[in-house]
Amino acid sequence: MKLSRRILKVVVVALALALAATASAQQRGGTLRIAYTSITQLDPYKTAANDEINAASLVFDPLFIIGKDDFQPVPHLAESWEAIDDTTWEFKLRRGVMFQDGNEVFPEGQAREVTAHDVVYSVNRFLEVSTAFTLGDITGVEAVDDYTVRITTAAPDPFLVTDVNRLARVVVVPHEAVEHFGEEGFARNPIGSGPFELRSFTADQSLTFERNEDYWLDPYLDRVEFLFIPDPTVQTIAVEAGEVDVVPYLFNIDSVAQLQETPGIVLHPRGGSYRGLGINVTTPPFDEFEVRDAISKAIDIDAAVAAVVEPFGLRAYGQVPPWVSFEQDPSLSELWEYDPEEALEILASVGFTPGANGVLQRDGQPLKFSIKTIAGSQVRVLTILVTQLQELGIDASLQQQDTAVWAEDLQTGNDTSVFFDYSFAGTTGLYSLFHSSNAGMTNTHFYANPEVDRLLDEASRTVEFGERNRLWLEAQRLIMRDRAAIPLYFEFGYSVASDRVHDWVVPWGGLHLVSLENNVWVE
Amino acid sequence: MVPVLLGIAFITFALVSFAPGDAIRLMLGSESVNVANVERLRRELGLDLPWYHQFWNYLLGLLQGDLGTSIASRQPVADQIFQRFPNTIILTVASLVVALVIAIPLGVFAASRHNRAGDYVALGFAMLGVAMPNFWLGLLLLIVFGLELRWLPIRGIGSLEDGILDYASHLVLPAVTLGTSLAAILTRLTRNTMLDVLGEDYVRTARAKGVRPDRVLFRHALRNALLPLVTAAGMQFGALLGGAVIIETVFSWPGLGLLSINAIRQRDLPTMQGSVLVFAASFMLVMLITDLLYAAINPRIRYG
Repeated sequence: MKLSRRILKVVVVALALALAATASAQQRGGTLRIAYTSITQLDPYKTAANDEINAASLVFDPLFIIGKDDFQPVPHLAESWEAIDDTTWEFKLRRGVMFQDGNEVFPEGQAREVTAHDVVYSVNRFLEVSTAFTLGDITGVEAVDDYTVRITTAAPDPFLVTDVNRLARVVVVPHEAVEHFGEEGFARNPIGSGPFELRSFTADQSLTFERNEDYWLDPYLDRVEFLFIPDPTVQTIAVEAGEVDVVPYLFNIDSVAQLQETPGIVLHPRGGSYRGLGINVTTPPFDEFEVRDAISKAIDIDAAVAAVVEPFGLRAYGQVPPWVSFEQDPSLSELWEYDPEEALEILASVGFTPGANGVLQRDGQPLKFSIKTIAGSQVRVLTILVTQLQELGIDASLQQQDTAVWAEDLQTGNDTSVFFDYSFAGTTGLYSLFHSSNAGMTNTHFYANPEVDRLLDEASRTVEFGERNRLWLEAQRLIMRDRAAIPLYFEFGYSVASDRVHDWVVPWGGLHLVSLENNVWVE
Repeated sequence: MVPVLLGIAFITFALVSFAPGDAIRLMLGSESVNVANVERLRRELGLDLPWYHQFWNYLLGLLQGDLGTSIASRQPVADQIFQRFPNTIILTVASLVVALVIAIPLGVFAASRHNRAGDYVALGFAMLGVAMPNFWLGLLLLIVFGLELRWLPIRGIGSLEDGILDYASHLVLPAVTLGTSLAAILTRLTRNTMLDVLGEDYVRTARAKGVRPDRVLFRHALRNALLPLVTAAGMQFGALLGGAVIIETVFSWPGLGLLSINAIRQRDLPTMQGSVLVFAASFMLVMLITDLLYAAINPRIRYG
């Protein structure tokens, strides 16, 4: 046993060396062309749109990034950090990092170093202007010296550094640039300390970035171009035709199989999204547990997911996706079973009996609802499920809506009972979707369970991972047992890239072309 | 013109105000959101006011030539529109040219081969051109000429700095796509009016006089058949503008159609308003030009 392990080690080392040998063929220079759908401004604090965040993250550096392999924070502008007590995080900054020069704010050769004071300014500005992300309850941010920042929180907050949507979003911004250009002007003339400098920005056409010659790492690429392609189908055609090198996010999972077969194209998987059936637990008759429970038993989720999504997705039994920093709860799968007969029995027990037209009804009211959804792979999954419900005499239908209408209907509860439930599954998705404080906003289930709230609140204050994990999974279990949602599947996320592109890391809270983990180059 | 534009402003405003979904709720719907800052944004943009108050503010701005500020980009709407409007004009005019270049010869040809093979081929084209949805045709052309043959670029607008050829190569596919259905309509129209005109007495007289057949066709018949053609082309210009909204998305053409589509998706009310106003105004302008062209082609219609 020991021997074979040693042999394995030798093989691994040999492989690593071989990889290193091919890696040494990295080429300098060249242009990377990235497709985008919509970029209207580049202030990194004022957007939740992937394209805008991707473009902005070339210009700016965050304190840390979310690592490519295990979704744990890895150092970037901050060399290290530690919790010096339960409510205080201390960050040590990298020395010698300079803001970009050769622009209106910092003339060539007159840039200044990024210091702790810039981090303080950035966190404060973020708190003030960010519409997309919240940092939690921050009570203070101070520069201890030029290279040390302390952030204090009202309560212990482990998510501040582990969740992709918290401090990882706060890139460092020089106050001179915001003051010089003003809020609106800064959004067109971003200046940061990142690996690429913005050279041109033509709305609905292209953005051009050039290598920051003074960057603290050594970017391989000379230029990065963002090319405007609003139609997702055309984006992948453009990669095939060689007009762009990368589509950062593949919208249509149905095209994965075909793209995998296409020579010259590489699919890069990473993370993904949670997709399920959400239930507004205040809309009759879905305010009754039995009705929700019966619906969950009436649909053959395995079959639908296998037919439409696999192998580019995974059956989900809860909301916590496999790629965030919580463990999977294998016992969750026992909560869900496909048993249409039992479903009918449960419905009968609460008074739903077949009416004249075969539709189940109670007191003359048919069991009727339409599932509100937006476009995506779920439409085909839901179509299968709706058919199964109809066969049982449940008058279910599918209603595909425009995103803005869907969002409003779900938030206002406007005639909404069952809906397509979606989150791109950041670490704290469970909190957004089910905590009562978010009801009517991100919690469109209008789910309010004091016990779940307590568990989620307590978990959010628990620094020790094991305990936090336990509380979080317990909350998830309660929510699922309550049938506030019926999880369907996790859809994997992909970048589509030409095989000329190397060391690409699928954006996760920002696009990182040059970091301590990778350095993108093109053949 | 001014009352019509005011009416259009009011109608779009009302439609948008009462349509479900708004920009702020869209932001609130995403998984991560800063509620306090989003609500402050709503107040800053005046979106918390009742709709008539918002409309009044909008009208006041409009009278001063201010189309408002985009919710999505925080840029003045007028700037956004005038950056993109020329691109849409170029695309629609190019499509009109494509349509006329195809339709007139084909229609004349069909009429001259009445009820013979050539006629049926031309009518077949006309049928197909109208029946094909233009986004589908666009994707098809894009895959054939952009991906398989690699003759033409598949996205974006060329830069005149790279030469007129580069610019034209970017324009070909969208213009052909957009122009096809109009070409089909106009082919049929040209054929039918030509057939009418060819049956007129003066055509018979010309032929009897021994005028060369091609001269009869182009000089005597076509000239008289042009009149309904101009009217139809003018009327169809509105359809071209509407088609541009779709075609610009397929071909990543940075025009006004694309701007309005994105504005609708994001419920960016001021940008939607501004785009619709400019679309409406340009349609009215084209109708005016059509009337003037009438007089130029047929001096008998000259007024007073």
